[in-house]
Amino acid sequence: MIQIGKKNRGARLLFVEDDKFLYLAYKYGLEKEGFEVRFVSDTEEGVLKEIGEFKPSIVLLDLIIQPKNGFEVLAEIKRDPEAKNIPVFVFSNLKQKEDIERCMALGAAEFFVKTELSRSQVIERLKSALQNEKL
Amino acid sequence: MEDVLEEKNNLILIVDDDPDFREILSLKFSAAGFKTASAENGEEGFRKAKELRPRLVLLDVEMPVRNGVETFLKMQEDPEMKNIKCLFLTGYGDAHHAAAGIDNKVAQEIGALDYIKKSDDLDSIVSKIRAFL
Repeated sequence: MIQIGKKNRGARLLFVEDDKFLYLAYKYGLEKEGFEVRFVSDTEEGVLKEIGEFKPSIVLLDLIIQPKNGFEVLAEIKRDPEAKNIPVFVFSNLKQKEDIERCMALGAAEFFVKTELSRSQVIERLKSALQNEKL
Repeated sequence: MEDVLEEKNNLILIVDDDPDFREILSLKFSAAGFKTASAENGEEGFRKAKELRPRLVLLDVEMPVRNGVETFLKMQEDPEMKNIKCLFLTGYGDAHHAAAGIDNKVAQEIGALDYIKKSDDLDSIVSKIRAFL
């Protein structure tokens, strides 16, 4: 566990989420694995601004969020020349096939259904994704 | 109520930065036969939990100095406190989060008993906590 944490050291994850409890519960788990984590809940202008400042390796994105929903935020990231290559992992309560397909068509790297994966499973998937990116 | 009163340790520690909420919840728990102690942030809560060894700790999520989730995780790392029961108490449970049950699920995954919204009826909060003890 410690070794994997070392491997991830320096990896930055931007969590776009309006549920502060969920953010905090994930933040400490991710930090234990070596991630630096930042949180943004303002989807009006905050996401691209935060990406520009924080330069995340990965974005974890909620879909049911306001004022811009996660689909709009994902499209915005993928249109932005500076941000479009950052892998975006969608993290949502939505689990309809059309929602998943829409996100994948917009350029999401993966779709995590909040109610179907445990916190440790999500963190594990993010770690694997990051390690694959580095290979 | 009798079973609670007969317990040697029926102390509930309320950790919340809202003094009005701490007071009203303390009154409710006292009326239900519990003893209470309170703290206004996570750091003070951690210290009091270590000193008083309450039967259960109610932890608000967002507080100054140290938030409730960090406080809980620090308690989990302390061999003397890791078995103290904790519940998160928060106003952050927006309708869609609560409806999906995601916060309760994550609270349990990290080792807490549950996640309770402050906006819930106080009597139902007391009943829910009694059921855990």
